[in-house]
Amino acid sequence: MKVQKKEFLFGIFLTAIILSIIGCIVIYSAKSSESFIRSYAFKQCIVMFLGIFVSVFIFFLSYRFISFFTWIAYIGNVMLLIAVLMMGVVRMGAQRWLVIGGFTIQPSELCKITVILALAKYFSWDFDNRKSIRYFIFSFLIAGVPMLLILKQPDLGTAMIIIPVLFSMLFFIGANYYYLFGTIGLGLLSAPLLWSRLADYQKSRLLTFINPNADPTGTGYTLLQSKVAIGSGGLYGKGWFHGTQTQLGFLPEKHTDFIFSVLGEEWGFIGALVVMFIYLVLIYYCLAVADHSKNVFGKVASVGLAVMLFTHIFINIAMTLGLMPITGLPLPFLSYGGSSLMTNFIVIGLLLNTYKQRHWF
Amino acid sequence: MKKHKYDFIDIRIFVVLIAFGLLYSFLGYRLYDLQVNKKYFSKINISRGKRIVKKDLNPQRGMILDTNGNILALTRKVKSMYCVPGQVENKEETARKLSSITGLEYDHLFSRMTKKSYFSWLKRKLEDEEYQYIEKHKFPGIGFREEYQRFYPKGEVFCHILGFVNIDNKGLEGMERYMEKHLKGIAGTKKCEIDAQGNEILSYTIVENEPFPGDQITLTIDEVIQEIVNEELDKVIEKHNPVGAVAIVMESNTGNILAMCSKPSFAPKSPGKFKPAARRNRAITDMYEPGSVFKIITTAAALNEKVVDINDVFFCEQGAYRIARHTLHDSHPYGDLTVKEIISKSSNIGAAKIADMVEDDIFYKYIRHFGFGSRTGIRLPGEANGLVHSPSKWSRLSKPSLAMGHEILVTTLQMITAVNVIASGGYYLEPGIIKNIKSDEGKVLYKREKREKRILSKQTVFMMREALKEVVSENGTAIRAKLEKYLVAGKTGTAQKLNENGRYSHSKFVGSFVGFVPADDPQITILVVVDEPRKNGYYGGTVAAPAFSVIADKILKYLHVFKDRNIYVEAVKSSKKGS
Repeated sequence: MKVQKKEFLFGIFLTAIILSIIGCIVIYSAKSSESFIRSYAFKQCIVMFLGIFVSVFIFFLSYRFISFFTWIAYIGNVMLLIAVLMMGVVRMGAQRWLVIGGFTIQPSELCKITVILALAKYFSWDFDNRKSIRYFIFSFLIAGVPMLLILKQPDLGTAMIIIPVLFSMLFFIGANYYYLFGTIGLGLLSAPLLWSRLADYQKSRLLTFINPNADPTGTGYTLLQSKVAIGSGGLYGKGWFHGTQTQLGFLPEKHTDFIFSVLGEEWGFIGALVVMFIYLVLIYYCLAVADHSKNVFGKVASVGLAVMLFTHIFINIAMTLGLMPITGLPLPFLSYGGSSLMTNFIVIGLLLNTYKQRHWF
Repeated sequence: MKKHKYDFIDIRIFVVLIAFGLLYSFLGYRLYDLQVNKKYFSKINISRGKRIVKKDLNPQRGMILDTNGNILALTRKVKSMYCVPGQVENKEETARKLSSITGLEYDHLFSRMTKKSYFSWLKRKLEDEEYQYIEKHKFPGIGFREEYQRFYPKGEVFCHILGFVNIDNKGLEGMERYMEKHLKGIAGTKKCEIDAQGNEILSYTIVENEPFPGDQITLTIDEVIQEIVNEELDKVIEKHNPVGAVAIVMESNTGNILAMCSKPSFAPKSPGKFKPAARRNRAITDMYEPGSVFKIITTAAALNEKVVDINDVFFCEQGAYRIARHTLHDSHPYGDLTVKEIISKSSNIGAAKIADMVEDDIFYKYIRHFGFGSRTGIRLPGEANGLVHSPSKWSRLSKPSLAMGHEILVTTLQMITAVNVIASGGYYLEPGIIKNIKSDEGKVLYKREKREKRILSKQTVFMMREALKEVVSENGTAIRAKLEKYLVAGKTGTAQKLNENGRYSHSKFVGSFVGFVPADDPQITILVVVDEPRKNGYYGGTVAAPAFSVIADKILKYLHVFKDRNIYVEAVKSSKKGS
């Protein structure tokens, strides 16, 4: 993995910006409006510029500051999650949002980052005891507390993201394999117990996934429409603004969770493949940052961030292709949503920062 | 390369990158499968099939004309206004302007314009002026579609004959309903693509079959005569305040219905605003006991069977005749009366005695031959059968009752058709209201032909006319039906209505008058029935005969019976064309 410094920084930044611009273009088609100024795409553009600014800002922050700030951010975020449960805004049956000074924020989005940083911080601090059971328990506590709070909202999708991130980070740091695989086995065994704890809509989503044609106009509708949209796109797609599934409103949630279906319908196999390739480049850069970093915090944090991004991308695309049940996870940089896009640019900023200080340890 | 204590992580990064790549290529394969291999192609086709729907194109409904070709019901294309919400510029301004033009509420229009849809109706069936104004000012995003609307230029006058249609132009009552198959035409079809909400996308619409207009129906009804009857019945309503009133005018020699009017009436434009009682065509749906008018049938039967002669004398028991433990009464006590006098003075006792001369079965046969107890077959919906019991069910009181028009239920149309036998010279003429039906291309699909059946001899008819002329004289009950220039033959009837308890009421009556003019060469037969007059008298001679007189007078002037009628009609037609 030999990448020149300037090209490297430029590469991470460019892929992120290209993806966001593609996102704006697809959103504009998915949610067409009378004028660009009033459109969802325009809002997304503004968040994109803010995001670029924030990532550059984080890039220039001192590494020590971030390292120091990690715990404060983590505790602050946990408190925000508690605040959400106490006085959050209820939308679509879930309490996920906080309104502060006219802005609506979703602390669970930000939580993904703070948990990763906190874990990385703990892993680097207690690196020598990594084979101990204490190491294991503490890392589970750090990830578990916000996860439970998020589950309580409920936001199963976001909560579930934390699990692969936690396990992959434990794997990277070289934690005790017996504990690691023992927990995974235990988790699988307790699956039937978890099933009974799921809400009805979550159960029906899972059942629909197993047999999507059982209820094509009800719970299976979105899944089927998404597949039809992507499938009808063909090799070259129907063209911008010409996707019938999208434009005629057959596809629900087309600008958020199912943006990839719009992409697939209007830009075809080639367009979808290009976007997927850009994602792969981004993930490659993230892992390369981990590779280049010379300290545990930087390595583990960037690996965690890479895993988080990849999990999002994989689950979302697999969902639109009908390979996974509907979870409501956004596609990074492409899906409409301010909190999500901002979080992604913070991730970019942190990765750039880590790379900047890769020789420091 | 320098060995480092974290190098094991780097190896794992490499492992994870490969794992990611594998997972990712799985996604890529699936994408390829869906998009290029078209694994779901069949499903996509199903989805397209659902999106393209066939819709009907409405045909133009056929016209209904009167006997002289005047339009009674027509269908016209009117404009309906819609908007494409996404294309409407300056919605507040547009909504405000349209609100002031159409009189619709601003909020309603504005909400329609901001609807999340590609199509939204603003106002169906615009007035012409509204359309012209909006069209001239060209609002962006506002469009028009043509729709058919049924119009009834004469309004209430023909309401019961024509009936009405619903918003989809389907006939619900009257001729509109009975002749639905002929009038509606054949729908065309179009293929159109719809969006997820089922809205039609205009640019994808293809017309497959053009619609074919409905047939044109010409009635035997004469617009002028109908107007005359309508006007007079309104006067009767005003003067006597009855529950209802019906009048039918029939052409004596053909059985063609020239006018059929029933009150109360309704406005065919908005039938829903009227009570169901007003929407009923009483002339064919309502049954009543005809009373003394029925003595025509009794006497005609006896005369035709030659069991009595017109000059035979019957003793009328001085007004009280005991029969089957009941006592029949006359309105005035009479001694000896000839058959002619029995008719003209309307003696119940005399009629009962005449009927007694006729055998039960024969009397019943005559009643049925005159058309009672079965539908006349007029082409209007909802016609009643009437009610006549067969002799096996008769009591001893039945025949005397029947003789004076009780124990029998008839419709107005049955009654006039029966009396018209005398006017037509002894023939039962099937009543008809449709003159012809022509297809849109002008092909004649139906033409009314006269159907006759002789049931009375010429002699009987002559004698009956003599007797009925006597009714409208100083000696009879209906002096008020008299006309200045023409001799009238007719008969009054005043029947008691049944109360809720099943006994004859002493305050509720049906007064009627039936007659034909000119008495010796009948041209028109008219029946006026006034149901339950509530003021200014109740006798048929008081409530119905004057109306008969005015109606007959006006119609005869219009038809100009004694002069050359055809020349007159031609003159009327040409003067109408001129104006």
